[in-house]
Amino acid sequence: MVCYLSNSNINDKKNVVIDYNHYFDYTYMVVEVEELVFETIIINTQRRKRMKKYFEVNTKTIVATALGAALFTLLFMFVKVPSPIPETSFQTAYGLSAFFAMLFGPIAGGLIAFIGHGLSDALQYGSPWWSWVIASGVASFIFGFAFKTSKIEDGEFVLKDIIRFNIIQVVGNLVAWVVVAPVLDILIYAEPVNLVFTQGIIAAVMNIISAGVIGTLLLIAYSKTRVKKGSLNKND
Amino acid sequence: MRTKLFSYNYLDTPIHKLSGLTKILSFLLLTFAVMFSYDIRCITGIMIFAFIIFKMAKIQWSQVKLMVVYVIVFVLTNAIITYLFAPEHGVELYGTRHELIKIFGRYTMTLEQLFYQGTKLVKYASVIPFGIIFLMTTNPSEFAASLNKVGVHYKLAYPVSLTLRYFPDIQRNYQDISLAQQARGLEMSNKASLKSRFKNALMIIIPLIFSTIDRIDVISNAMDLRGFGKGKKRTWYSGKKLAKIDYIALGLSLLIFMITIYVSIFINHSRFYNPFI
Amino acid sequence: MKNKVVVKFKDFSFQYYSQAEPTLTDINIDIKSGEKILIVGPSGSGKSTLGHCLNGLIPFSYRGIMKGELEVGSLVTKDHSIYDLSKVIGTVLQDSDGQFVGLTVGEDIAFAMENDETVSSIMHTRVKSVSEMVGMDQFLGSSPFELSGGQKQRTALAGVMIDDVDIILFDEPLANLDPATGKRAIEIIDEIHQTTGKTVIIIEHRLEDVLHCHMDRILLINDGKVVADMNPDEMVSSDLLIRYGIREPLYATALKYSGVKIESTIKPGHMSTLSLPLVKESILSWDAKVEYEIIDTKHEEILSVKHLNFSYDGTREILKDINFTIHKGEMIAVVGTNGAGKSTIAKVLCGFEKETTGTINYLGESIANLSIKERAEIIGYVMQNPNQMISKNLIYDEVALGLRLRNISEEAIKDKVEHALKICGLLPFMDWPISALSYGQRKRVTIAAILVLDPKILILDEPTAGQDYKHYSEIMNFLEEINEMGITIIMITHDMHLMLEYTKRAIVLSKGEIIADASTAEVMTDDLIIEAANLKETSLYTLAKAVNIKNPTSFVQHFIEYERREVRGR
Repeated sequence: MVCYLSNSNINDKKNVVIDYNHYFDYTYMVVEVEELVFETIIINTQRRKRMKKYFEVNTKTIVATALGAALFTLLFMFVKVPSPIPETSFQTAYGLSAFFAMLFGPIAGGLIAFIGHGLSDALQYGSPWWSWVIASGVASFIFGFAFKTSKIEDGEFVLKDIIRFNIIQVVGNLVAWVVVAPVLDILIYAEPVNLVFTQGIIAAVMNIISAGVIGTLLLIAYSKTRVKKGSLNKND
Repeated sequence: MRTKLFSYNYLDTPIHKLSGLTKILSFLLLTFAVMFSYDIRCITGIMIFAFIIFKMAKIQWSQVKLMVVYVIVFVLTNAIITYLFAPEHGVELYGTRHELIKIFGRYTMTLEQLFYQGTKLVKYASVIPFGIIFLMTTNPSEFAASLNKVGVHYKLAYPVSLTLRYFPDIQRNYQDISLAQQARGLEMSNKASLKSRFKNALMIIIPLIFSTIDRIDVISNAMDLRGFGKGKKRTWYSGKKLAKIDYIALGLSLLIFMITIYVSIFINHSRFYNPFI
Repeated sequence: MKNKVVVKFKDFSFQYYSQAEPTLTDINIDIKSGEKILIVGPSGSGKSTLGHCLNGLIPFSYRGIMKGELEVGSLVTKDHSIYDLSKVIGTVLQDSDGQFVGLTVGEDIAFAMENDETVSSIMHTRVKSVSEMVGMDQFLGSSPFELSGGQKQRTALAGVMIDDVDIILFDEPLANLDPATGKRAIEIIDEIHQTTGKTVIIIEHRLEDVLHCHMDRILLINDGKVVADMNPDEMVSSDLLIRYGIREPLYATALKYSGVKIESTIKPGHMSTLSLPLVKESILSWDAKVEYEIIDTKHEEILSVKHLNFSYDGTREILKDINFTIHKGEMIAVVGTNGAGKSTIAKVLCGFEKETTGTINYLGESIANLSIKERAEIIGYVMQNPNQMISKNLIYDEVALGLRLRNISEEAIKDKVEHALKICGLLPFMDWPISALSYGQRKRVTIAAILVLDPKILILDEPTAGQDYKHYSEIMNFLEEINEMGITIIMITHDMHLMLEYTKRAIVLSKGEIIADASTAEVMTDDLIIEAANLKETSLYTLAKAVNIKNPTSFVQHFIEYERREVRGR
């Protein structure tokens, strides 16, 4: 029995290609049909079907959500990048939620921002400002739609992925801050229309920059930590 | 260094005795009533109710001082911005115009605008105490259990409990990392260029996030090994049974909620109480 | 029920998908009901993978190719879920903070029952009775950050015992505990084993500490294979431990130095079983023979701390009247229990916290007015977990970071970085991504990143925590080299081997006060200090007392000097 840890040999008719499309190890397994193939793959029969699904919630997603939300709360309260406009700052927390959403999907992303924003509002103001908490959740939920096609776990995050991530990120932020937040502000708090849309547009721009810069840099840094050792040479 | 997220301490008051479920339901009912209604009579009533509860819960001023300062700053900023953006919003809402004074240009002060912004102020003044009471008197252990009981699936409720569990750990990490990076020369000042401000923030964020990600596997393994997620439901060690006082509190909250809705629908025929017509 | 086989590996092998080679091969093990087994092996030997196979994390969480049979209880693991297995085998993990998922002790113990949808009243009764077994019944309402490491671990133990499992697996139970707490943990495991008759499997590389209590068998794992399966007497008598990089018990080393041939007949498996009459003569004559002149060349004072007090809130004193002097080129240990103020001293020295009163002098001059950044050029601080310091992808950039933030020219940076990397043995890896490095190498990167600022004093927080003997030796020999280049080193630690082998002097803290500042041998042989600092008596001292050496402290000192000079050639 031979197992290859590469996607070569696919042309060989004798080979069965099994795509292990799950969370952390994207390996293409090629197993020769001869001999007792099924003995080797038996333990994986139930997991083979487990493709990357947008809405699957397993223990790992739950833990990632919780730790992500704790990080979000902390960054939201303490780690802000002062912007050139006085009295405003970039919320690095949206870079974090975009990063987690890419790694763990929309459910994790949405909950991280929803819980994190709600918690930090509650800690600072005593009560969450619901319309914006919900908008945070919606934005980060949408960020998660870059999750399924991502191969970042293999260290693959090239220009194409950066562009895709940023398009999704911009869409998410626009939907959340220019549509969801103002509409909820009007519905829940009966705020003036021009005020809430102006606020929404400013928030969208700021958060697009935060999620774009911080999120992209985090993703690049993360993908580089996933590089395998093989390609390296000592520098003599 | 603050290690506890909330200054929750058990005190022997009727509010502390209520189960988490009651508190979460009452909180939702009352805040929804306040958010929905723009009838200053109802909201003032609820505000007085909120302050009575606040008093009953024996919350110390020193515990909430900082929060209140934040809230006042937020509310005042909001009021000023609202006026600057929409000085005629009250007129639009109530359909009449009683001008008081002209300030300059399009900025005049109308009775309608004052009434609208006044109502909004009372709304904050009544919602915030409920939030504070909820935070200060609810045992964090009951959070997830209560959310689950109001119908949130446990797989969505449990992360809330875990967030509260690991927040202090992450906060301590953050402080350590931040100091160690400052020793290497990091300065988070406004003097640097925007590009280096982002770079500097990343010097803290990257080690913080990446060392946290390392823990996801450990914690989720620990949970899997003790059977988390195997069933469609789970029970809660810290869930409290509802007592008589819970039913009283729930009844009262429901009553207030119903009255507010009733007044809006059958008396005002709108979310707004309009004294101008 | 006795003697029934409860764990059976038959021609078992396992290979992770991400690995090119199998991690475990040809494993054949039988463990009988009620046995107490220790699994030892160096890092990367596959012992943790073996644990994952036992509790079902393989194949539940880690995927790979499994061959052969593994039965746990009466379950064939590959046909059963991790949930079925969790009713037969309970696991106490190394990281007790990671395992502690509840907001309070009570909730955490009840976690498995909650997942079984048990009704609340039954849970409360059961939690009460299980917590009594591990002595945590007074703490049911406490939060994890109010507890010590030992208490968290006991909570974890209660959390797996609540399922009334037949087998309890401990994965490196000593890794995060101080010596006294570790000793107590081994005693608790022994008590539980004796009272309940459960099968106990301990995975650990700190052999001597586990052998504080009785063990039926020791399995030695190396390179994915079982290389030995013996009782403790046979294991300690063999040369296998040294061959496979496991530290042998210190008393056994001392016996060897004194010329005793270690064989099963002298029962060397545990200090408590050692046949003293057979070894006494050799030890006494060795002790009488060995004499070293202790050369105490005191260099100039580099750092002196006088009447230092510190408090976070102005009321509760964290540090009380701290006085000490450190000389140039010293390598010293700061020891004490958690919360004794060890880390606080480091933070105050580095300027992370501002002392309430008192003075800190560097070369006779006060450094009170220096900022954190400026102090870092005198006193460098290396955190315990290298991952908490690394923020760049490439080694070069990471090391250069501190200099770039000081606006030094790139040419000057290049020289300094290359110099620091050379000292740390990382020059050939200069352009590597840090992610490709091992834990020990990352540690070196963080040390290089501090050294590049050219500090005169280095403070390291637990430099060897969680490392096996081989990696421990690598890190410590490296630190010793740096020290010989003239950098003064202060280590915050509770590793007694480290103190014994590498530091001549130790400062002991208890409740914010210095209770001892003396030679390592004196500190480690003083019962009061041992107790106050949560250390434990070293087996060398126990041995010395047992054979009635007149001055056991000097015996320990002899051992240290002999080892340093004759064995390591320093």
